[in-house]
This record gives sequence, C-alpha cells and structure tokens, in this order.
Amino acid sequence: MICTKKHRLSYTDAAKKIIDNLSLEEKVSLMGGNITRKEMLGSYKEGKHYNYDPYEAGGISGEHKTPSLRFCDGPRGVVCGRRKSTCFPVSMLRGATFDTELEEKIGRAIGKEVRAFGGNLFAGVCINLPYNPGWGRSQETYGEESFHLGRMGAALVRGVQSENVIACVKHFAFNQMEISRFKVSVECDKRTEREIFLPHFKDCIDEGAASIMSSYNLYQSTFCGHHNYLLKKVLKKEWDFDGFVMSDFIWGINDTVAAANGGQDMEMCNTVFFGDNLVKAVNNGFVSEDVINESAVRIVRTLLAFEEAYEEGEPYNESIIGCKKHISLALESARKGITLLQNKNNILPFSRKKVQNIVVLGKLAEKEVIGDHGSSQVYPKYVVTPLQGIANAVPEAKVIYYNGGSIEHATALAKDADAVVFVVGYDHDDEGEYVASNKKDAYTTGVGGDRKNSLGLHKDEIELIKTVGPANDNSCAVLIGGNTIIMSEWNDYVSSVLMAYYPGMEGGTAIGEILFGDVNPSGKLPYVLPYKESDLPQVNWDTESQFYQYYHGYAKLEKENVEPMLPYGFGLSYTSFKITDPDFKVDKEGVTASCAVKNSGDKNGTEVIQLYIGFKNSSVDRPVKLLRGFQRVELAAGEEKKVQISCPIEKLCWYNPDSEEMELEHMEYEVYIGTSSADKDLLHGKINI
Amino acid sequence: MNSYIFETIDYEKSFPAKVFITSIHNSNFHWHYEYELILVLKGSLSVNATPKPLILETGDILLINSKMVHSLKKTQEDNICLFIQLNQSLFNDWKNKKRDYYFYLNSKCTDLPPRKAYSEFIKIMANIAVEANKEDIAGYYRTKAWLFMLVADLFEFVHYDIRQFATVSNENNGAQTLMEIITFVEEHFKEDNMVDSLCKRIGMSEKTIYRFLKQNVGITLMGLTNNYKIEHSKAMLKFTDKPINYIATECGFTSDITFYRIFKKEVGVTPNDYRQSDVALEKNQEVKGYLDYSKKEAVDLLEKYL
Repeated sequence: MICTKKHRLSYTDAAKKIIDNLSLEEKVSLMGGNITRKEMLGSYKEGKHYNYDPYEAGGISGEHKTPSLRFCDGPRGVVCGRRKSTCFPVSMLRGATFDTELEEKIGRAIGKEVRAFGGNLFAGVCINLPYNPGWGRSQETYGEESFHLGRMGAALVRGVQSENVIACVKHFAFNQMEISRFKVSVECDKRTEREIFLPHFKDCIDEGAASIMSSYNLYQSTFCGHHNYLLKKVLKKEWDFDGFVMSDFIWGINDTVAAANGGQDMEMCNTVFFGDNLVKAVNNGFVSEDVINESAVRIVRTLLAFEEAYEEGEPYNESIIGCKKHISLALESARKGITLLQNKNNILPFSRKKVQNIVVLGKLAEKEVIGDHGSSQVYPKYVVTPLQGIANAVPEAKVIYYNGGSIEHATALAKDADAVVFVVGYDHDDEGEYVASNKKDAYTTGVGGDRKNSLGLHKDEIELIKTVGPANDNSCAVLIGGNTIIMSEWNDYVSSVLMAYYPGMEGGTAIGEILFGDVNPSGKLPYVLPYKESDLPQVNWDTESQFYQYYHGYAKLEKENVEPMLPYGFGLSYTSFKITDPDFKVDKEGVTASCAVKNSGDKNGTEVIQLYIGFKNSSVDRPVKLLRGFQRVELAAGEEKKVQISCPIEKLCWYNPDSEEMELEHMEYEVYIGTSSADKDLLHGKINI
Repeated sequence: MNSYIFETIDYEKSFPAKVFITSIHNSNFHWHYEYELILVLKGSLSVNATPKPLILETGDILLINSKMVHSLKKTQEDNICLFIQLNQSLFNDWKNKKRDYYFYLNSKCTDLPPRKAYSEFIKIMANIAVEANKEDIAGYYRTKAWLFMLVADLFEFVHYDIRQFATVSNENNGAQTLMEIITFVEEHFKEDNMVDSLCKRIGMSEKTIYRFLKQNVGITLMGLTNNYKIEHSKAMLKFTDKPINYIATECGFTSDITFYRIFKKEVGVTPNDYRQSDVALEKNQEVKGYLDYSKKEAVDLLEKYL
C-alpha cells in the first residue's frame, strides 16, 4: 500500500500551502458535496439510480488546483452504473468465510472498479455491530463479534487502499437500528462503548483507513454527525486519525455550527448546512477559521496522496468492471461463505447418480437474491438464481420448480422427486435500508427496515417446510437472509439446512455446487443462532431512545448459561476434522496458540480454527470468553497441518471507567482453540499474565 | 392430424399459433413443441396423456403441454373440437429462456383448479377462433391480442411448474432422441428384442430410456409399446378372422393372458367383445372420414361461448 498514514502525512505541507492561498469560501467549498438535491432527484427521473455516477465533493480548479472527492457506495461491490459492476456476496457472507486474505482481494477488485468508474473513494467498509440481528442492514456488516469485524474490515481497507482508493469506514457509531436511525439516541455505559461498539472502528483506523462516515443516529443525545466526543476526542485525538470525516447522506448533519465544531469535516452528498451557511458562521464568529483550516488540510492532504499515487500507475479502464477475474472472486467468496447448519444422516451432498429428479420450492428460488435495494444495491451484468444454479449443477437431471400456491401439489411433487430443495428467507422488502415514509425523499426501491416482527421465516414458508418436508427425506432448506434466521420451529421437518445469506451474482452457482458436493462447505456462522429470539437483547425498533446492554450475541448467551441452537463460529463440512496438541504461549506482545488439525474424513475440506480467550478469573464482570483469533486451513483428505494463531495483548484488555484507560488484568486466563465457540469443539488451556 | 374445418391462414412463419376446428377420428401417440389447447365443441373425445387417459365432453377444455406425448381418439359419438396450438415462442420471450412451463389446465380434473373459472378460458379460446376465422386485418391483430391474453391468464391464474434447464444444455438433443425412440417403437413394437435393439440404436441403457421418457414425456417405454400393440391388434380383430392367440403373438404380446389383461385395461373390453362390438374402426387411417360439419355449424357452436 502506497498511501499509508505516514505517506499521507507527508502531504501536510503541500496541503497547507494550497490552503493558505484559498479564500474562506474556497476552503469551505472543499467541505461539501457538489451535487444538489434537485440534480440527484432529477437523475432518478432520467432513469439513473442512486449513485449511478460517482458523487463529487469539493475540488478546486485553477491555480490552486485540488482534486475532488468522487464517492462510490458499497459494500457488496460498486454501486455505480448498470449491468456492469461485480456483485459480490454481502459482507455477512464474507464474514462467514473468516477469510481476511480473500476479503483483501475483494477490496482490490472493488478498488479497481471504483477507479474505472472514475471514483476515488469507496464507502463500503461497513462494520456496525448488530446488537440485535433484526437490524435491517446487518447484511452490510460482517457479524456480531467486534474482533472479527475489526479483522474483516481492516482487510477490506487494505485491499481498497492498495488500489489507491480511499476506504471510508461507516457508520460511526452505534448505527444498528434502521427504522429509527434518524431519531434514536443510543445510550450505553462506557465499558459497552469502549469494549463492544468502538474497538473495530479503531482496528480499521489503525489499518490506515483514510476516511470515516458519521452515522445518522444520536449517541447520548447528540447527533453522531456533530459528535465532539466521538469525532474529535476519540477518533481524531485518541486514535490519532489523520483522514477526514464525512456525514452520512442528506440527513447526517442537522446544524451548521454544531457539526463544524463537533469535528465534522464534510457534508455529504449535498451542501446545505455547510457552504454559504458555514462561511456565515465563521464570519459571525460561531466557528473558528482554524476549524475550517484543519478540515481542509485533512481533506486535501488525503486526496493529494491518493490521486498522485493513482496517477503514477497505469489507469484502469471500463474493461475491468465486472471482468471475469472479479466475477470468479465473487464465486469463490460464495463458495467459502455459505454455511452448512444441519445435515441429518449426511443427506448432503446429493448424489448426481441418485438424484435425477429435483423439486425446488419457495419463491426466492427464482429471484435474484443479492440483497437490499437501498444504497448498497449493486447492478451486475447478470445474477445466477438459486434455481438456475441448481439446474446448472445437474444438467442431466430434471429440475422442477413450483412457486407454491397449492401445498398439496408441492407435496405431490416432492413425493415423486429424488430430492427437494426449499429456498426460503428474506428479500429487500423484508429487511434493508429504510429511508422515509415520505416517498419523494426515498432513494430505495424496497420497503426495507428492521425485522421488527420476527427473526423467523414467513408463516407460509414455515407451513411449506412443515407440510412438504416430511414427504421426502432427501431435503434441504436453503436460507436467504442477512443475519440470524431462527429455525427451531421447523428444522426437524427438513434434513439439511444451508445458510446462503445473499450470495452475490454467482450465488446460485455456489449453492448448486455445494448441494451436489463439487464444493465442500466451509462457512462458519458469524453470529450465534439461538433457539428463541428472547435469548437475544431486546430492542424497541421504533423509538427515540435505546439503551444497549454490555452483553449481546454469544457472549450474552454464554454469560446467562443459555444453550444456543448453534454456537458462534459453527459450520459443518462434508468431511471431518480432528484437533490435537493444543499449545498456548504468552509474551509481552501477545498470546500465541497452536494446534494440529487433521482432515480425518475422505474429502478435501477447509476448517476455520478459532482462538477464544476466557475471563472467568476477572475481578470485574467480563464475558465467559471472546473470539480473539481465527485462521482458515485447507486440508486434503487425510492431511494434517499445524496452525498457529496470535492475538495482540491489547485485545485482552478491558476498559476501566475510573482510569478511563484500556487495562490489562494480571491473572490466569482460559484459552481455547477449536472449530466453534461451543465447549465440545474446543481444546482448553491456561495462560498467566 | 385430420382435415380441418378451418384453420388460420399461414400469415407468416412467425405467427405464434395455429388455430383450427376439426373432427377427430384417431390421432395416434405424437408430440409437438406447441402447447395445445383443446375445447370440445360437440360430442366427446378420448385423450390419452399423462397422468391418465380421460374423456373430454362438450364444453371441456384441456391443455396439453409442450413435448408431452398424447393420443386422441373419437368415442362412440362424433365430435367437433377447437384446437389452439401455441408456439413456444409465446412463452419464451420473458427473462429466462432456459425453461419449460408445465401448466395444469384440465376441466376434467379436480386437482389444482385455475384461479379463474374455466368458462373464462373457454371464452378467450372462442374469441381466438372467431377472430382467426375472419381472415381480415382486424381479425389478424385481434387473434394475436386474444392469444396474448390467453398466455397472460395462463401465467396469472393457472398453476404451473417450471422445468429449469442448465445455462449450457442442449434440450434439442432431447427432442431428437425422443423422436427417434417413438419412430423406432412404431416400427419395431412387434419384435421380441425391441428394447435391446432400441438401446443399441440410441446408445442408452433401458434404465436411462425409462428415465428419459418419464422426464420428457411422462410415459413409459412399456406404455408406448403397448399402445402400438393394441392399435395393431384392434385392426386385426376387426378386419381379420385370425384367432386371438395368433393375433396376440403377431402383435408382440408374450402370451394370450398378457394380451387379454392389457387389452382389457386399455380398451375397457376383452378382445373377443371388441371383435363382436359395433365399434367402427377406420381401415385406412390415412384416409379420413367425411366431415359432416360445416364451417357455419362450427361458428354457431363457438358463438355460444363468446
């Protein structure tokens, strides 16, 4: 990566020199989007969608030329254009791969496509932690665990910025409720803030992310877009962030003075509160010109560094957008992330010899299940539906799809078939970005919102599985959705369950390949799957105030001794793995764990080895254990490898609200290495610090 | 097929349907790419198609899906039927071309009724026939308009399965193989080792052929073979004095008992009873019987449904 923080800081003088020559008006003009609201809405009328072209902000031509920012949204690819971009699986699926190398490659591919569209910033590093999985946009993030979010987000930052595209990390912070996002004030205690909701943002900043987007919601009654504590104290001062902050779009700033003094550097993507209003505020003494100078330096310095680095290399042209290499990366990701949750009597993989007649049920089977229709919607050249993917996997077989209607007919078809596949779950109307009840403001084409009614399947889908499932033992439910789908009501009625998330433009292909064993599934749940919703922290989705408890997800279930249906980090394979010889060491730098992993089955496969650290001896209230490392290991049948995972010592710290510091406890820690967060899948050890 | 009372003039090769009214005597097992809608305007018609043979009476409609093997026969009474053969292209211009639709539209069947009364479908069929008969430019476009209405109604109100093909597959090979199998059986059904030679001829195992037929046309090889045997035996029973056991052997049945059993099952009476019955059989099936029905009568019948 050329544009490291150090490299960017080397542009400080050059940036200052430019800014010294600019008028106040010019400097302020760098701090806001160049497109007007009217132009934006007008472009929709011309048949262009949200972010069809990169949204430009700032930039000055003439003698003191500074580059403009050109914004491209994500995260499942580049939102620009139509029938062009590579549509990757959603971040949640990519989280399930636990593959940081692959995420970095995806980042590079995205970076190249951003440049080919004429952009220079990718706002697709979404790392919000879903406090409750019902959050409508949780498909855009990697999972429920802060450590894992930090690692995956950092990998995407590395990839994108390696292509000299600015990575923008979002939404800072506490943005995990959709319907109430414009009005809710999140409250929590300091430990929850510092240990649960902020560390992954710090991880991405430490990785060198050059931009961050503030969120719409309020934290402790202050809009995050104006948040002096979050933006100035934590981000810019404590974390020593050198880049710039931008507001979330249109409604991310609500007050000129509060935003500017709160550490907001840029109003996106239309200039309303900044621009002339900000010039007036400075002239009237409400905002110091130093504030403007600082923001301008941050913006110009960053842009100069990235633009120059890009101009030194070969430019990318349109032919790289949606190219074969990128599409095969999307496929690789789907193959690695789709997670096998249940496989009674090893019913999967289906045998091509025996399964000649397959019935596919559920309306999502023939839909383009790539996810939300909000600001993250990507427009690829084509999408392989689950149905097409299954047909492609067995071209010789008879693949019949019935869209429901008559459950008796579905049952009759299933009875006659060699196998039955249910494709069930969600689409963009069930969960996703929610803009406004005011239609004229909406830039989304789905209903979206949080899953406020249920985390389970639709009633008709449950009825379908419960009625038709028993007609054929050779059955699989393929789940489509962005996060936890509760299965306890129906999982006994179907032999196998495959969580496909929103698997991207080649998702159908990967589903077909996994069902028929061409690909051995290796995804792992990046969230806990409880038996019932009430095991999770409860949220009032439509509210102006929401308190977040310290515990959520698997940490909450473990603390409360609640058995999950499936633990965090769980995923089945068509082969089996044996873990032996655990070894744990500790030094000043961190904890190093190792073990031997053997593929004890007869198929090649991949296992994700996970390191957890336990805090039972803590003098304060801490989780039973937390994920603190992971590593994918590819093993041929019978092969054995040694795996080593390290965790930096600061990742063992807790936040002491009295000293206002992250502190390391000196005590005996439990350490675990294994294949999921469940006790039975882990080998135990102890370390002393 | 039989001669037509009237049929659509061949406007152009691309016209997506063929509309005709005819009186059916006997149309042996065959299949085509077109979806075929049958409306019985008068009398009744015996149809042998999956899942089971049935008799359509006046006012009944039936949709025979693309590539499904079927046979049509007259019953004791004469019939007049409206046929609308819908070209596959009518169904293929939507997003996914790599698929076949299998509709469930059969007024004789109580399972899976459409979400709109059969009379509505009949009305559209009658309109298509009347407009097609006009042979003028307005009729040409109205026929097309009604055809599109019909297809829209099929998708909206009729239950259907989709057979999804792989992106890279060649379903035409399947159709060719099917044609080959049917022709082979027609020519060789009398032979003892017909199955063996068929396997050799098309390079498929018996199991594969079974599966292939079941999947593509919903009929077994045995069913197909028996059909030809029975048809041949019927002719011999009516037009020769050969003893039953001779006919059984001549038609390729392994024994008299098998012949009796299968004949009774398929025709409803024993071979002897059939021989003695008044049921007429066309001696030369190539020469069709005289058509009593005028175009006028056909149009009158249709108008009842408009």
